[in-house]
Amino acid sequence: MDTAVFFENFLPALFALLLAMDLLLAVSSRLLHCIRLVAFQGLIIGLIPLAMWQWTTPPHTELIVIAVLNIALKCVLIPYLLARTMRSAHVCRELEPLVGYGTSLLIVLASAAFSFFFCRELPLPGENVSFLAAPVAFTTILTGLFLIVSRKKAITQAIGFLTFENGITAFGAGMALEYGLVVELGILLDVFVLVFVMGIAVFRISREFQHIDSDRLNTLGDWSGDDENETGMKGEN
Amino acid sequence: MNLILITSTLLLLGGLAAPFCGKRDSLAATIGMTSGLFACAIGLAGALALLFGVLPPATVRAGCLSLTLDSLSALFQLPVFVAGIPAILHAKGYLAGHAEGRTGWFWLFFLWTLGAMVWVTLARTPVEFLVAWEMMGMMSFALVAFEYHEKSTLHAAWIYLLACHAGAAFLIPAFIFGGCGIWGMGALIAGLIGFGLKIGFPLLHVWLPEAHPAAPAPVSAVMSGAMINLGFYGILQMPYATDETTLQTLGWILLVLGLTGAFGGILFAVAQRNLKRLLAYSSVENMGILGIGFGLGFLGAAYGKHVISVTAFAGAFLHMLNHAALKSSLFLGAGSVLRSTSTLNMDRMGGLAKRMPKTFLSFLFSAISLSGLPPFNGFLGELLIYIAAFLALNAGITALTGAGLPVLLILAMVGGLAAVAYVKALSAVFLGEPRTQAAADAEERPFSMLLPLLIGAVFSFILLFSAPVLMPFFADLAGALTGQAVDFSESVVPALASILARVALFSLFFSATAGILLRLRQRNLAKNAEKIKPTWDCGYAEPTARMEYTGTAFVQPVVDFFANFLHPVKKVRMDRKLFPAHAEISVETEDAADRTVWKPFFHFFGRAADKIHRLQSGYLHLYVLVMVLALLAMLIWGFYFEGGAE
Repeated sequence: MDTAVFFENFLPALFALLLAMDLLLAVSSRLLHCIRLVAFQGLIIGLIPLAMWQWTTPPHTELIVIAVLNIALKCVLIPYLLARTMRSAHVCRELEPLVGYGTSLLIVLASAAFSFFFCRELPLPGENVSFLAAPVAFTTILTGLFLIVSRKKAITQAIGFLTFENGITAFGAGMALEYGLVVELGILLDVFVLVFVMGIAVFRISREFQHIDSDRLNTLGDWSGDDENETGMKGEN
Repeated sequence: MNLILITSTLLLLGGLAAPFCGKRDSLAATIGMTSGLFACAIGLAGALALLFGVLPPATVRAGCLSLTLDSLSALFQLPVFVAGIPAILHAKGYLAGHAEGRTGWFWLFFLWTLGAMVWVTLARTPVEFLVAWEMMGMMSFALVAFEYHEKSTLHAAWIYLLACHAGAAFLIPAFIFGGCGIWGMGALIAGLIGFGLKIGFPLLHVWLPEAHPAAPAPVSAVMSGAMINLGFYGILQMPYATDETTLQTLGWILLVLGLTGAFGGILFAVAQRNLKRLLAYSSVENMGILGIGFGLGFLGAAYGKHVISVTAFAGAFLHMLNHAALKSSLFLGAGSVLRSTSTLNMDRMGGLAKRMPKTFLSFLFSAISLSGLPPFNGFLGELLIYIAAFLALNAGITALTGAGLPVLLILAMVGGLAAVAYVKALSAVFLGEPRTQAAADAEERPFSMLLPLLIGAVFSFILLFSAPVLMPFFADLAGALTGQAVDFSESVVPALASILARVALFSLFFSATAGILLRLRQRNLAKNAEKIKPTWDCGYAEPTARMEYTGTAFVQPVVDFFANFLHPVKKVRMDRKLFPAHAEISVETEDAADRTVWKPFFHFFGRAADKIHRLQSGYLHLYVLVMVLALLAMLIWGFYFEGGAE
């Protein structure tokens, strides 16, 4: 098969996989599974710029560096950190999400439909890589935000943030925006630091409070309204 | 100009030095008083020198500051010093024994308030003006909140702070848009609202009757005598166009606000029980009279009747100066009464004329004068506005006739009501028999607190006799403010000056005659041994102070007549028996604007804010959700409604 034809089909396939990961993320309750899904998303994100290159000429070093860094960080290091945090905090399931799994799937599907509808109207620059790029990236962003809003465990929220970030990267790659090495590295560092801090925080919190449900951490908020009786500090201590 | 710089520096340094005295209150008071007095005296000399042409207008650049002293700023500085000097003198006695350890702070805020007021009149760039304006507001806020131990004081200070900030909220856009030269009429209206909050235009006046009773008396004197005038200074300094339409709009707005303010203010003053609250409402009334004067002035200029314009402007300026001298004396007198009787409720005083005769004399003089009654200086400004209104009536232009007629009616009514209000204040506080033990035990204040009242009276007399001399400046200013290049020095100015001079001569004659008659009476009485008897007892065998008319009772017919407007709330508590052993009645008159506009307004926003506050639940999920929804809404909105233009 001609390489050009191969990549023409390969790119939509990558975006389709990204979309599938979003849907799976919405319904998985096991944290380890979620982490693996996000890791796989990281792999796809890393591959997209390489797939766009068409391989008719040897690629830039920059491109390779970014791809390798992306994969190393988002597919290997961060999932590893997440998994370690998960084990040290002794949680393996998101048991009581604020929105049920069936509803979550429906919401993600609805956001996908919205994205496809919305991106058809969006005045995008002409040379976008694939017709799937914008809607799928948008769906991934919305899915990430939805995970942050609807899940209780801090780890799941970090996963949501990673998904969100993957969506943004996919959007940039899909629109063939040239960030430059420094910007890419800055974004990667940002995500890495977030996960790192989250890992430490979750570890400490779980040691102090025996749980990492962020919805019960509202005692420190300055609003002490109606729900003073059920705040987290008293929780399981 | 250099004199003004010395004034500012003295105020700044004196204020800075005072708090360093720590617990040594008398040292702090001495430092504050000395520097303040010197500063005000030098400033007064500088302003007068500029007004009388001894020194030319000047601009000084100091660092990033650019200060300009011209005749308008000098004119508006006069009230600061005229009200400031007696207030500074009075403050030492007023504070003695009531501000242990905090006297230094009082002087810091007080002198800086005065300094900020001077700075406001000198600033010419918008940023500098706003900084000075806000400093004036903040420093005086600290003074209003000075007796913060009382809950009502804090409430009043809170309202004052709110008014200051609301004023700034309107002034900043007014300056930005006005400075850019766009949004002409909108900027004008925003400026009118912003400055109107300081002046106390109707609806915007609610802070005055709250803040003035709460503030220490010298502070009320300065705020009422000098600070609220600066709102008019701001309005006159606004870069409005001097074309016919703008002058008409400005004139009509000021006239209507002035008429309602004057009438409503004095009406509510009549109904008050608190002496300083009464005086505060009277300030609303006097600012209304100023508004009438400026409004008529702008209208006259808009319709090409320069005589009306000059007369009305001169009346407003003159009334401003008179009000500064008289109202500060009245507030200081009220402060003396407060220190002697420990209350401001007029129904708990009485008989103070025998106990504090000198304070009574000063209060009597200022009250008569401020009611606009002939022999004294308070009459002059109103007289000029009356003349302007009559001229407008006969000008032969329908619009001017329509402006002049309500002015005459309302001014006449306001004059009558002002007399009622001050007769009430005088009789309830000073005449009759004391109604409480505190009033019976009252003693005359020491000389240090009487001197400022005397100085206030002296200022009033100087104003009375210098009014004809001031006419040319007023005429020039009126011409400059309305953009008319007409020379008035031949026609209008001498005519008005001669009227004022005749009134002044009449006053002199009247005062001299009264003085001689009093002297004769004293001499005649000295021959017969004078007997002091109780106040006439109306034929009752056993008169008590409880049979006296209280102030509230005295004005009851007026209050009942205007009940639709005032909405007095009467609370009667009485045993339901044939011969009730216990009975009491109290009449409260809540501010109309507060009751009908601001309370519902703030109530509504309070409830709305409570509902919104529920969003601040402490749940991270909810916060993120709200942000996501807002972003999505913006995206869709921007895409479907704004993107169409491309």
